[in-house]
Amino acid sequence: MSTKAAYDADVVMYPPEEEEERAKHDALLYLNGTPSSSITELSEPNLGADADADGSDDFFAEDEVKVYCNRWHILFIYFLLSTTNAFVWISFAPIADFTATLYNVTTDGVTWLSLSFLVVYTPGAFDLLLLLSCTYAAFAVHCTAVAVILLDAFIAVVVRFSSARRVPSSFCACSCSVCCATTLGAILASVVLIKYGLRICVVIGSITMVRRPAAGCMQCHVMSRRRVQSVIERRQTLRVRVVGDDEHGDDRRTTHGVVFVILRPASNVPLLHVYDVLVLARP
Amino acid sequence: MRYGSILFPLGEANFPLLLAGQFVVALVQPFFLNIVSKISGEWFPEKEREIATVLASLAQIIGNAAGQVVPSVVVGCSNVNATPCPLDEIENMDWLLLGQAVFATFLAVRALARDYGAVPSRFRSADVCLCVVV
Repeated sequence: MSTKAAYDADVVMYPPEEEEERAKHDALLYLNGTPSSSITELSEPNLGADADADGSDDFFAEDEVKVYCNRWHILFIYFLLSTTNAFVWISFAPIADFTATLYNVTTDGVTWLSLSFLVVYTPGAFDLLLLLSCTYAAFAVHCTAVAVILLDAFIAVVVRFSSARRVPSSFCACSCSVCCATTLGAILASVVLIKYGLRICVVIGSITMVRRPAAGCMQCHVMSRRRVQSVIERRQTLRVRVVGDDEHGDDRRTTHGVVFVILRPASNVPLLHVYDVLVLARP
Repeated sequence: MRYGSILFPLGEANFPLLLAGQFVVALVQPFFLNIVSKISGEWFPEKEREIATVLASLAQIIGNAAGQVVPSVVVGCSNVNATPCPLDEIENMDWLLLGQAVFATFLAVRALARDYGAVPSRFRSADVCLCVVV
């Protein structure tokens, strides 16, 4: 078995005269078997020069970039969201005196409204590693836990020494509760993720639609039915691809082996063009 | 949460509620600050990555600038001679928080409602599927 096993399943738009015949072939797409046997059937129409047995095809070719018009819309939405985030971050600083009067706290307390972003950022930056790359999952989890615990200790000390003079007692109690809860949460998350790290990472990655081609991760993309239909209507190839990591031997391959189950064709789309595709990680 | 902290009279709990709201907003800041390279790398071709990175990075600066100016303009004291401003004469703080909440909600809905198709530029367009990992 190769270092990286790639299983491809292609659903292709065929000319009308071939559709009738291909509809019979459709039955082959209802799969329940092992990845190797099932995917061979699926890959038959378009595998050809695109992929080879090693998974070292040009699927990952870096120089082949397809861009979409909506990338500017994505950037615009990100721009507005990021601007709003920064706006909220600093918005109490120029009106600290009004805020202090309105909420009956000192300006030191108002400072915490801005400082909260920096407090969250330190562990949050490591959490982001978990979302962006499974490769650094363990590192990210441990760093997050350590950062949270240190920050909690820092906050507890600050609150303790300022509570006697300025900070309301409810704020002190709330802060201590949050510190205890997040510390326990960090320790628990660290312990859990040590054991189930990769699997949880994969799930998180699938939820956030972050692509992680790194070794040890299952590559998973999410696309709506409308998008699937759009791809096929434009006579593009719909490709279902899962990359499993085999470098750790049979056990790992078994753990992260995959089964394609193509559920059913969409009812409002003729013949075999659109499918619900469910990719299962075999336990 | 932030608007609720000024909307409801909760006594000493108002400020912790406001602070909790800030912490919730702060949760996404690492994402916004660090995802810039990811966006430009995944969505843009090589020749456009610089401009995408510049525009995306600019957002934080503009947001900071707006955050310094807008609250100062919006929130004020009805009695300009009073220093410090009495509690009853502080104006528009609720509108500031409400505006931020409404705008952020609108953007979030706008961002989530659209079907982007989840297409990265690094891979071919068709390597995506409706995929559930169990």
